[in-house]
Amino acid sequence: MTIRIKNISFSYPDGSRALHNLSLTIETGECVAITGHNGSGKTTLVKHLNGLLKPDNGDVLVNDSNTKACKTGQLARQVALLFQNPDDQICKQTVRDEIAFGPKNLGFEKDKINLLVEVSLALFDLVQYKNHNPHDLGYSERKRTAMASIVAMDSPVLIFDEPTAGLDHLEIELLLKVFEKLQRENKTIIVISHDVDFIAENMDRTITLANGEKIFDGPVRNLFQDDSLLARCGLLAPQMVQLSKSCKLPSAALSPQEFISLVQD
Amino acid sequence: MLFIDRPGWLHKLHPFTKLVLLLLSAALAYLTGLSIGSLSLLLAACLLLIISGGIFSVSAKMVIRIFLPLILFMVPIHGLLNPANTTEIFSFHGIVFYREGLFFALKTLMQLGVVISASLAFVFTTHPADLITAVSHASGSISIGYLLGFPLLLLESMRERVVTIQNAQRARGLEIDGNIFRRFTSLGPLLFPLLIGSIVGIEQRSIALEVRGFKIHGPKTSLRLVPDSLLQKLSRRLMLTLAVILPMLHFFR
Repeated sequence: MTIRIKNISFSYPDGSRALHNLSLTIETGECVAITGHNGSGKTTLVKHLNGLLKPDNGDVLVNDSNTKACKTGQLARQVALLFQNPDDQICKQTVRDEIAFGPKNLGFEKDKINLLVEVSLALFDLVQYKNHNPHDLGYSERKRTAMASIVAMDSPVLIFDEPTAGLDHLEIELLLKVFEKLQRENKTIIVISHDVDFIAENMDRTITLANGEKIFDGPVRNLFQDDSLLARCGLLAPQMVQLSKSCKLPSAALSPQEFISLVQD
Repeated sequence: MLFIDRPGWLHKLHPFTKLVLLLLSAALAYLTGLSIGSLSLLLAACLLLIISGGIFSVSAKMVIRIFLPLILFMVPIHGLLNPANTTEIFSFHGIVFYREGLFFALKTLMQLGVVISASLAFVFTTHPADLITAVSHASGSISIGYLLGFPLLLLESMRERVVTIQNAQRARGLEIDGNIFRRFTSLGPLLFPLLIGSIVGIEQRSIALEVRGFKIHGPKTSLRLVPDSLLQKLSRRLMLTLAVILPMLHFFR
Protein backbone atom coordinates (compact mmCIF):
# COMPACT_ATOMS: atom_id res chain seq x y z
CA MET A 1 0.00 0.00 0.00
CA THR A 2 1.93 3.00 -1.28
CA ILE A 3 0.77 6.55 -0.62
CA ARG A 4 1.90 9.16 -3.12
CA ILE A 5 1.28 12.82 -2.50
CA LYS A 6 1.96 14.97 -5.54
CA ASN A 7 2.30 18.75 -5.21
CA ILE A 8 -0.77 19.23 -3.04
CA SER A 9 -1.92 22.59 -1.78
CA PHE A 10 -4.88 23.22 0.47
CA SER A 11 -6.54 26.25 2.00
CA TYR A 12 -9.46 26.26 4.42
CA PRO A 13 -12.68 28.09 3.47
CA ASP A 14 -11.65 31.08 5.61
CA GLY A 15 -8.65 31.51 3.28
CA SER A 16 -5.94 30.31 5.66
CA ARG A 17 -3.30 28.34 3.77
CA ALA A 18 -2.70 24.98 5.42
CA LEU A 19 -0.54 23.09 2.88
CA HIS A 20 1.60 24.38 0.07
CA ASN A 21 3.05 22.39 -2.82
CA LEU A 22 3.75 19.34 -0.72
CA SER A 23 5.01 16.07 -2.20
CA LEU A 24 6.05 12.82 -0.56
CA THR A 25 5.78 9.07 -0.85
CA ILE A 26 5.19 6.58 1.94
CA GLU A 27 5.93 2.97 1.09
CA THR A 28 4.32 -0.19 2.47
CA GLY A 29 5.46 -1.14 5.95
CA GLU A 30 7.15 2.16 6.76
CA CYS A 31 6.96 3.66 10.25
CA VAL A 32 6.80 7.41 9.73
CA ALA A 33 6.50 10.31 12.14
CA ILE A 34 4.98 13.59 11.06
CA THR A 35 6.06 16.44 13.24
CA GLY A 36 6.14 20.21 13.32
CA HIS A 37 4.90 23.15 15.37
CA ASN A 38 1.20 23.67 16.16
CA GLY A 39 -0.64 24.79 13.05
CA SER A 40 2.09 23.49 10.73
CA GLY A 41 -0.41 21.38 8.76
CA LYS A 42 0.18 17.89 10.20
CA THR A 43 -3.45 16.99 10.85
CA THR A 44 -4.55 18.67 7.62
CA LEU A 45 -2.04 16.51 5.75
CA VAL A 46 -3.26 13.21 7.20
CA LYS A 47 -6.89 14.16 6.61
CA HIS A 48 -5.95 14.14 2.92
CA LEU A 49 -4.80 10.54 3.13
CA ASN A 50 -8.28 9.15 3.81
CA GLY A 51 -10.23 11.68 1.78
CA LEU A 52 -11.61 13.73 4.66
CA LEU A 53 -10.09 16.67 2.84
CA LYS A 54 -9.43 16.92 -0.89
CA PRO A 55 -6.51 19.01 -2.13
CA ASP A 56 -7.15 22.28 -3.97
CA ASN A 57 -4.25 21.42 -6.27
CA GLY A 58 -2.27 18.25 -6.79
CA ASP A 59 -3.22 14.64 -6.09
CA VAL A 60 -3.15 12.11 -3.29
CA LEU A 61 -2.86 8.55 -4.54
CA VAL A 62 -3.57 5.68 -2.18
CA ASN A 63 -2.47 2.51 -3.92
CA ASP A 64 -2.80 4.37 -7.24
CA SER A 65 -6.40 5.44 -6.46
CA ASN A 66 -6.88 9.18 -6.45
CA THR A 67 -8.61 10.24 -3.23
CA LYS A 68 -10.54 12.87 -5.20
CA ALA A 69 -12.52 10.03 -6.75
CA CYS A 70 -13.10 8.11 -3.51
CA LYS A 71 -15.35 8.57 -0.50
CA THR A 72 -13.85 8.52 2.99
CA GLY A 73 -15.94 5.42 3.78
CA GLN A 74 -14.27 3.56 0.89
CA LEU A 75 -10.81 4.82 1.83
CA ALA A 76 -11.30 3.71 5.45
CA ARG A 77 -10.63 0.16 4.21
CA GLN A 78 -7.16 1.30 3.16
CA VAL A 79 -6.36 4.07 5.64
CA ALA A 80 -7.59 4.16 9.25
CA LEU A 81 -7.20 7.40 11.16
CA LEU A 82 -7.23 7.83 14.92
CA PHE A 83 -8.21 11.32 16.06
CA GLN A 84 -6.45 12.99 18.95
CA ASN A 85 -9.41 13.14 21.31
CA PRO A 86 -10.99 9.71 21.94
CA ASP A 87 -14.22 11.36 23.08
CA ASP A 88 -14.79 12.62 19.54
CA GLN A 89 -15.42 9.08 18.34
CA ILE A 90 -16.74 6.98 21.23
CA CYS A 91 -20.40 6.34 20.50
CA LYS A 92 -21.19 2.87 21.82
CA GLN A 93 -22.28 1.58 25.21
CA THR A 94 -19.53 -1.00 25.69
CA VAL A 95 -15.83 -1.10 24.88
CA ARG A 96 -16.43 -4.21 22.80
CA ASP A 97 -19.14 -2.57 20.66
CA GLU A 98 -16.99 0.52 20.26
CA ILE A 99 -14.10 -1.55 18.89
CA ALA A 100 -16.48 -3.44 16.60
CA PHE A 101 -17.93 -0.20 15.19
CA GLY A 102 -15.34 0.29 12.42
CA PRO A 103 -15.20 -3.37 11.26
CA LYS A 104 -19.03 -3.44 11.12
CA ASN A 105 -19.06 -0.31 8.97
CA LEU A 106 -16.58 -1.97 6.63
CA GLY A 107 -18.94 -4.92 6.26
CA PHE A 108 -16.63 -7.64 7.57
CA GLU A 109 -18.01 -11.11 8.33
CA LYS A 110 -19.22 -11.70 11.87
CA ASP A 111 -16.47 -14.21 12.69
CA LYS A 112 -13.79 -11.88 11.40
CA ILE A 113 -15.21 -9.00 13.46
CA ASN A 114 -15.23 -11.14 16.61
CA LEU A 115 -11.64 -12.19 15.99
CA LEU A 116 -10.43 -8.64 15.27
CA VAL A 117 -12.19 -7.31 18.36
CA GLU A 118 -10.74 -10.00 20.63
CA VAL A 119 -7.23 -9.41 19.27
CA SER A 120 -7.53 -5.64 19.68
CA LEU A 121 -8.90 -5.98 23.22
CA ALA A 122 -5.91 -8.14 24.13
CA LEU A 123 -3.38 -5.91 22.36
CA PHE A 124 -4.49 -2.83 24.29
CA ASP A 125 -5.02 -4.66 27.58
CA LEU A 126 -8.73 -3.93 27.59
CA VAL A 127 -10.13 -7.45 28.05
CA GLN A 128 -11.24 -6.74 31.63
CA TYR A 129 -13.13 -3.64 30.43
CA LYS A 130 -14.81 -5.16 27.39
CA ASN A 131 -18.33 -4.92 28.84
CA HIS A 132 -17.78 -1.55 30.53
CA ASN A 133 -19.24 1.67 29.19
CA PRO A 134 -16.24 3.56 27.72
CA HIS A 135 -17.46 6.77 29.34
CA ASP A 136 -17.15 5.17 32.77
CA LEU A 137 -13.44 4.57 32.15
CA GLY A 138 -10.50 6.91 32.66
CA TYR A 139 -8.93 8.94 29.86
CA SER A 140 -6.12 6.51 29.10
CA GLU A 141 -8.54 3.56 28.86
CA ARG A 142 -10.76 5.58 26.53
CA LYS A 143 -7.70 6.48 24.47
CA ARG A 144 -6.70 2.82 24.27
CA THR A 145 -10.29 1.92 23.31
CA ALA A 146 -10.16 4.45 20.48
CA MET A 147 -6.78 3.08 19.32
CA ALA A 148 -8.06 -0.50 19.52
CA SER A 149 -11.07 0.46 17.40
CA ILE A 150 -8.71 1.75 14.69
CA VAL A 151 -6.44 -1.31 14.81
CA ALA A 152 -9.51 -3.58 14.59
CA MET A 153 -10.33 -2.11 11.18
CA ASP A 154 -7.42 -4.14 9.81
CA SER A 155 -6.50 -1.39 7.33
CA PRO A 156 -3.05 -1.61 5.70
CA VAL A 157 -2.29 2.01 6.69
CA LEU A 158 -2.85 3.27 10.22
CA ILE A 159 -2.55 6.90 11.20
CA PHE A 160 -2.35 7.89 14.86
CA ASP A 161 -2.75 11.55 15.83
CA GLU A 162 -0.84 12.17 19.07
CA PRO A 163 -1.11 8.55 20.29
CA THR A 164 1.07 9.08 23.36
CA ALA A 165 -0.86 12.07 24.72
CA GLY A 166 -2.38 11.17 28.09
CA LEU A 167 -0.66 7.77 28.32
CA ASP A 168 1.81 6.78 31.03
CA HIS A 169 5.09 5.02 30.22
CA LEU A 170 3.61 1.52 30.66
CA GLU A 171 0.83 2.33 28.25
CA ILE A 172 3.34 3.79 25.79
CA GLU A 173 5.30 0.53 26.00
CA LEU A 174 2.05 -1.30 25.26
CA LEU A 175 1.52 0.93 22.24
CA LEU A 176 5.03 0.18 21.02
CA LYS A 177 4.33 -3.54 21.22
CA VAL A 178 1.23 -2.95 19.09
CA PHE A 179 3.36 -1.02 16.59
CA GLU A 180 5.86 -3.91 16.47
CA LYS A 181 3.04 -6.36 15.74
CA LEU A 182 1.59 -4.11 13.05
CA GLN A 183 5.01 -3.76 11.43
CA ARG A 184 5.45 -7.53 11.43
CA GLU A 185 2.17 -7.64 9.49
CA ASN A 186 3.75 -5.17 7.03
CA LYS A 187 1.28 -2.43 7.85
CA THR A 188 2.22 1.20 7.35
CA ILE A 189 2.22 3.29 10.53
CA ILE A 190 2.01 7.07 10.43
CA VAL A 191 2.26 8.93 13.72
CA ILE A 192 1.64 12.62 14.30
CA SER A 193 3.43 13.64 17.45
CA HIS A 194 5.09 16.45 19.37
CA ASP A 195 6.77 13.86 21.58
CA VAL A 196 10.35 14.10 20.23
CA ASP A 197 11.69 11.48 22.66
CA PHE A 198 9.09 8.99 21.44
CA ILE A 199 9.89 9.79 17.80
CA ALA A 200 13.66 9.59 18.33
CA GLU A 201 13.47 6.20 20.00
CA ASN A 202 10.83 4.51 17.89
CA MET A 203 10.41 5.96 14.42
CA ASP A 204 12.48 5.31 11.29
CA ARG A 205 11.62 8.33 9.23
CA THR A 206 10.40 11.81 10.03
CA ILE A 207 8.49 14.23 7.86
CA THR A 208 8.65 17.72 9.30
CA LEU A 209 6.26 20.48 8.37
CA ALA A 210 6.42 24.20 9.01
CA ASN A 211 3.72 26.61 7.85
CA GLY A 212 2.22 24.01 5.53
CA GLU A 213 5.47 23.17 3.77
CA LYS A 214 7.68 20.10 4.04
CA ILE A 215 11.04 21.20 5.36
CA PHE A 216 12.52 17.82 6.20
CA ASP A 217 11.97 14.25 5.11
CA GLY A 218 14.49 11.64 6.13
CA PRO A 219 15.98 9.54 8.92
CA VAL A 220 15.08 10.69 12.43
CA ARG A 221 18.76 11.03 13.37
CA ASN A 222 19.43 13.62 10.67
CA LEU A 223 16.64 15.85 11.95
CA PHE A 224 17.56 15.73 15.62
CA GLN A 225 21.25 16.41 15.00
CA ASP A 226 20.55 19.57 13.03
CA ASP A 227 19.99 22.44 15.49
CA SER A 228 19.11 25.04 12.86
CA LEU A 229 16.54 22.73 11.30
CA LEU A 230 15.02 22.01 14.71
CA ALA A 231 14.78 25.74 15.38
CA ARG A 232 13.00 26.25 12.04
CA CYS A 233 10.49 23.53 12.96
CA GLY A 234 9.95 24.92 16.44
CA LEU A 235 11.13 21.65 17.97
CA LEU A 236 13.49 20.85 20.82
CA ALA A 237 16.06 18.07 20.47
CA PRO A 238 15.21 14.88 22.41
CA GLN A 239 16.66 14.65 25.90
CA MET A 240 19.19 11.98 24.91
CA VAL A 241 20.47 14.15 22.04
CA GLN A 242 20.80 17.13 24.38
CA LEU A 243 22.59 14.99 26.95
CA SER A 244 24.95 13.58 24.30
CA LYS A 245 25.86 17.12 23.24
CA SER A 246 26.38 18.26 26.82
CA CYS A 247 28.65 15.29 27.41
CA LYS A 248 30.47 16.08 24.14
CA LEU A 249 29.97 12.56 22.84
CA PRO A 250 31.19 11.92 19.28
CA SER A 251 27.61 11.46 18.04
CA ALA A 252 24.12 12.06 19.35
CA ALA A 253 22.30 9.18 21.01
CA LEU A 254 18.60 8.78 20.27
CA SER A 255 17.82 6.39 23.11
CA PRO A 256 19.14 5.64 26.62
CA GLN A 257 20.60 2.33 25.38
CA GLU A 258 22.46 4.12 22.59
CA PHE A 259 23.70 6.73 25.07
CA ILE A 260 25.08 4.03 27.39
CA SER A 261 26.88 2.25 24.57
CA LEU A 262 28.37 5.56 23.36
CA VAL A 263 29.61 6.36 26.87
CA GLN A 264 31.03 2.86 27.27
CA ASP A 265 32.85 3.19 23.93
CA MET B 1 -20.92 32.29 18.03
CA LEU B 2 -23.26 33.93 15.55
CA PHE B 3 -22.08 37.45 16.35
CA ILE B 4 -20.62 39.33 13.39
CA ASP B 5 -18.06 41.91 14.38
CA ARG B 6 -18.81 44.98 12.26
CA PRO B 7 -19.14 48.67 13.03
CA GLY B 8 -22.80 49.60 12.87
CA TRP B 9 -25.45 51.46 14.82
CA LEU B 10 -27.26 48.22 15.63
CA HIS B 11 -24.06 46.78 17.13
CA LYS B 12 -23.76 49.81 19.41
CA LEU B 13 -27.24 49.47 20.86
CA HIS B 14 -27.56 48.05 24.36
CA PRO B 15 -28.48 44.31 24.24
CA PHE B 16 -31.67 44.98 26.23
CA THR B 17 -32.82 47.59 23.69
CA LYS B 18 -32.49 44.99 20.94
CA LEU B 19 -34.21 42.35 23.09
CA VAL B 20 -37.15 44.65 23.78
CA LEU B 21 -37.31 45.49 20.08
CA LEU B 22 -37.52 41.76 19.38
CA LEU B 23 -40.26 41.38 21.98
CA LEU B 24 -42.25 44.27 20.50
CA SER B 25 -41.90 42.84 16.97
CA ALA B 26 -43.14 39.44 18.13
CA ALA B 27 -46.03 41.00 20.07
CA LEU B 28 -47.07 43.11 17.07
CA ALA B 29 -46.82 40.17 14.67
CA TYR B 30 -48.69 37.62 16.75
CA LEU B 31 -50.87 39.37 19.31
CA THR B 32 -52.33 42.44 17.65
CA GLY B 33 -54.20 40.82 14.74
CA LEU B 34 -52.38 42.80 12.07
CA SER B 35 -53.64 42.48 8.51
CA ILE B 36 -51.37 41.21 5.75
CA GLY B 37 -50.84 44.82 4.64
CA SER B 38 -49.72 45.94 8.12
CA LEU B 39 -47.58 42.83 8.48
CA SER B 40 -45.88 43.73 5.19
CA LEU B 41 -45.03 47.14 6.64
CA LEU B 42 -43.68 45.53 9.82
CA LEU B 43 -41.63 43.08 7.78
CA ALA B 44 -40.28 45.95 5.67
CA ALA B 45 -39.28 47.76 8.89
CA CYS B 46 -37.40 44.63 10.07
CA LEU B 47 -35.71 44.40 6.67
CA LEU B 48 -34.68 48.03 6.92
CA LEU B 49 -33.26 47.32 10.38
CA ILE B 50 -31.16 44.46 9.01
CA ILE B 51 -29.93 46.42 5.99
CA SER B 52 -29.00 49.49 8.02
CA GLY B 53 -27.30 47.24 10.58
CA GLY B 54 -24.95 45.92 7.88
CA ILE B 55 -26.00 42.28 8.27
CA PHE B 56 -28.20 41.87 5.20
CA SER B 57 -26.18 39.30 3.23
CA VAL B 58 -25.63 36.91 6.12
CA SER B 59 -29.23 37.30 7.32
CA ALA B 60 -30.60 36.72 3.80
CA LYS B 61 -28.72 33.40 3.55
CA MET B 62 -30.11 32.29 6.91
CA VAL B 63 -33.67 33.42 6.08
CA ILE B 64 -33.61 31.55 2.76
CA ARG B 65 -32.34 28.41 4.48
CA ILE B 66 -35.15 28.58 7.05
CA PHE B 67 -37.98 29.73 4.79
CA LEU B 68 -37.50 27.74 1.63
CA PRO B 69 -38.60 24.40 3.15
CA LEU B 70 -41.37 26.16 5.09
CA ILE B 71 -42.73 27.79 1.93
CA LEU B 72 -42.52 24.52 0.03
CA PHE B 73 -44.58 22.73 2.70
CA MET B 74 -46.96 25.41 3.97
CA VAL B 75 -48.17 26.98 0.73
CA PRO B 76 -49.40 23.78 -0.96
CA ILE B 77 -50.71 22.20 2.27
CA HIS B 78 -52.79 25.23 3.30
CA GLY B 79 -53.63 26.22 -0.26
CA LEU B 80 -55.11 22.77 -0.82
CA LEU B 81 -56.20 21.42 2.54
CA ASN B 82 -56.93 24.24 5.02
CA PRO B 83 -60.36 23.55 6.64
CA ALA B 84 -61.39 27.18 6.05
CA ASN B 85 -60.91 26.88 2.28
CA THR B 86 -63.98 28.01 0.32
CA THR B 87 -62.92 30.50 -2.39
CA GLU B 88 -61.27 28.85 -5.35
CA ILE B 89 -58.37 30.78 -6.91
CA PHE B 90 -57.19 28.39 -9.58
CA SER B 91 -57.15 24.71 -10.41
CA PHE B 92 -54.53 22.61 -12.12
CA HIS B 93 -55.42 19.16 -13.44
CA GLY B 94 -58.15 18.84 -10.81
CA ILE B 95 -56.00 20.17 -7.97
CA VAL B 96 -57.72 23.25 -6.55
CA PHE B 97 -55.94 26.05 -4.68
CA TYR B 98 -58.03 28.18 -2.33
CA ARG B 99 -57.68 31.82 -1.32
CA GLU B 100 -58.21 31.32 2.45
CA GLY B 101 -55.50 28.69 2.82
CA LEU B 102 -52.99 30.66 0.75
CA PHE B 103 -53.69 33.79 2.79
CA PHE B 104 -53.30 31.86 6.02
CA ALA B 105 -49.96 30.45 4.84
CA LEU B 106 -48.81 33.88 3.71
CA LYS B 107 -49.77 35.49 7.02
CA THR B 108 -48.07 32.76 9.06
CA LEU B 109 -44.93 33.05 6.99
CA MET B 110 -44.92 36.84 7.38
CA GLN B 111 -45.36 36.58 11.15
CA LEU B 112 -42.48 34.13 11.28
CA GLY B 113 -40.47 36.40 9.00
CA VAL B 114 -40.88 39.33 11.41
CA VAL B 115 -39.80 37.31 14.44
CA ILE B 116 -36.91 35.60 12.67
CA SER B 117 -35.52 38.78 11.12
CA ALA B 118 -35.75 40.61 14.47
CA SER B 119 -34.06 37.64 16.17
CA LEU B 120 -31.27 37.60 13.59
CA ALA B 121 -30.79 41.35 14.07
CA PHE B 122 -30.30 40.59 17.76
CA VAL B 123 -27.98 37.55 17.56
CA PHE B 124 -25.83 38.84 14.70
CA THR B 125 -25.17 42.20 16.36
CA THR B 126 -24.94 41.23 20.05
CA HIS B 127 -21.73 39.76 21.43
CA PRO B 128 -22.65 37.09 24.02
CA ALA B 129 -20.20 38.66 26.47
CA ASP B 130 -22.11 41.96 26.20
CA LEU B 131 -25.36 40.14 26.94
CA ILE B 132 -23.80 38.36 29.94
CA THR B 133 -22.41 41.67 31.25
CA ALA B 134 -25.72 43.47 30.74
CA VAL B 135 -27.74 40.73 32.47
CA SER B 136 -25.19 40.51 35.29
CA HIS B 137 -25.38 44.27 35.88
CA ALA B 138 -29.17 44.31 35.75
CA SER B 139 -29.71 41.24 37.95
CA GLY B 140 -26.78 41.84 40.29
CA SER B 141 -25.82 38.19 39.78
CA ILE B 142 -23.04 37.10 37.46
CA SER B 143 -24.39 33.54 37.59
CA ILE B 144 -27.70 34.55 36.00
CA GLY B 145 -25.87 36.47 33.27
CA TYR B 146 -23.62 33.51 32.59
CA LEU B 147 -26.54 31.09 32.59
CA LEU B 148 -28.42 33.13 29.98
CA GLY B 149 -25.51 34.11 27.76
CA PHE B 150 -23.38 30.99 27.91
CA PRO B 151 -25.36 28.95 25.32
CA LEU B 152 -24.56 31.64 22.74
CA LEU B 153 -20.84 31.32 23.52
CA LEU B 154 -21.04 27.55 23.11
CA LEU B 155 -22.58 27.51 19.63
CA GLU B 156 -19.33 27.99 17.69
CA SER B 157 -17.37 25.38 19.65
CA MET B 158 -20.25 22.91 19.27
CA ARG B 159 -20.31 23.50 15.53
CA GLU B 160 -16.56 22.78 15.33
CA ARG B 161 -17.00 19.68 17.46
CA VAL B 162 -19.76 18.38 15.19
CA VAL B 163 -17.34 18.60 12.24
CA THR B 164 -14.60 16.79 14.21
CA ILE B 165 -17.00 14.02 15.27
CA GLN B 166 -18.25 13.64 11.70
CA ASN B 167 -14.65 13.30 10.49
CA ALA B 168 -13.77 10.80 13.22
CA GLN B 169 -16.75 8.59 12.37
CA ARG B 170 -16.25 8.87 8.60
CA ALA B 171 -12.64 7.78 9.15
CA ARG B 172 -14.06 4.60 10.71
CA GLY B 173 -16.15 3.91 7.62
CA LEU B 174 -19.44 5.52 8.69
CA GLU B 175 -21.38 6.77 5.66
CA ILE B 176 -23.14 10.00 6.59
CA ASP B 177 -24.27 10.90 3.05
CA GLY B 178 -26.80 9.15 0.90
CA ASN B 179 -30.48 8.31 1.39
CA ILE B 180 -32.62 9.37 4.34
CA PHE B 181 -32.40 5.94 6.01
CA ARG B 182 -28.60 5.97 5.93
CA ARG B 183 -28.49 9.53 7.26
CA PHE B 184 -30.91 8.60 10.02
CA THR B 185 -28.89 5.55 11.10
CA SER B 186 -25.70 7.65 11.16
CA LEU B 187 -27.26 10.12 13.62
CA GLY B 188 -26.54 8.01 16.73
CA PRO B 189 -22.75 7.79 16.28
CA LEU B 190 -22.72 11.54 15.58
CA LEU B 191 -25.05 12.72 18.34
CA PHE B 192 -23.88 10.46 21.16
CA PRO B 193 -20.29 11.83 21.39
CA LEU B 194 -21.67 15.37 21.01
CA LEU B 195 -24.17 14.90 23.83
CA ILE B 196 -21.75 13.17 26.20
CA GLY B 197 -19.03 15.69 25.34
CA SER B 198 -21.39 18.58 26.06
CA ILE B 199 -22.42 17.17 29.43
CA VAL B 200 -18.79 16.52 30.41
CA GLY B 201 -17.84 19.96 29.07
CA ILE B 202 -20.50 21.67 31.20
CA GLU B 203 -19.26 19.86 34.29
CA GLN B 204 -15.63 20.74 33.57
CA ARG B 205 -16.46 24.35 32.80
CA SER B 206 -18.44 24.76 36.00
CA ILE B 207 -15.51 23.31 37.98
CA ALA B 208 -13.11 25.61 36.12
CA LEU B 209 -15.32 28.59 37.03
CA GLU B 210 -15.55 27.52 40.67
CA VAL B 211 -11.80 27.11 41.11
CA ARG B 212 -11.23 30.61 39.71
CA GLY B 213 -13.52 32.25 42.24
CA PHE B 214 -16.61 32.71 40.06
CA LYS B 215 -19.00 32.51 42.99
CA ILE B 216 -17.09 34.67 45.42
CA HIS B 217 -19.42 37.27 46.95
CA GLY B 218 -18.56 40.92 46.81
CA PRO B 219 -17.77 43.51 44.13
CA LYS B 220 -16.23 42.24 40.89
CA THR B 221 -14.28 44.10 38.24
CA SER B 222 -15.75 44.16 34.76
CA LEU B 223 -13.38 44.87 31.88
CA ARG B 224 -16.24 45.02 29.42
CA LEU B 225 -18.42 48.10 29.35
CA VAL B 226 -21.82 47.96 27.71
CA PRO B 227 -22.77 51.54 26.91
CA ASP B 228 -26.31 52.62 27.67
CA SER B 229 -28.06 55.99 27.45
CA LEU B 230 -31.11 57.76 28.78
CA LEU B 231 -32.62 57.75 25.29
CA GLN B 232 -32.23 53.98 25.06
CA LYS B 233 -33.66 53.47 28.54
CA LEU B 234 -36.69 55.60 27.66
CA SER B 235 -37.21 53.90 24.30
CA ARG B 236 -37.01 50.49 26.04
CA ARG B 237 -39.75 51.52 28.44
CA LEU B 238 -41.87 52.86 25.59
CA MET B 239 -41.44 49.69 23.52
CA LEU B 240 -42.20 47.47 26.53
CA THR B 241 -45.34 49.48 27.25
CA LEU B 242 -46.44 49.15 23.61
CA ALA B 243 -45.67 45.42 23.65
CA VAL B 244 -48.08 45.04 26.60
CA ILE B 245 -50.77 47.61 25.73
CA LEU B 246 -51.27 46.93 22.01
CA PRO B 247 -52.11 43.22 22.43
CA MET B 248 -54.40 44.12 25.35
CA LEU B 249 -56.21 46.72 23.23
CA HIS B 250 -56.65 44.15 20.50
CA PHE B 251 -57.87 41.55 22.98
CA PHE B 252 -60.48 43.79 24.60
CA ARG B 253 -61.64 45.47 21.39
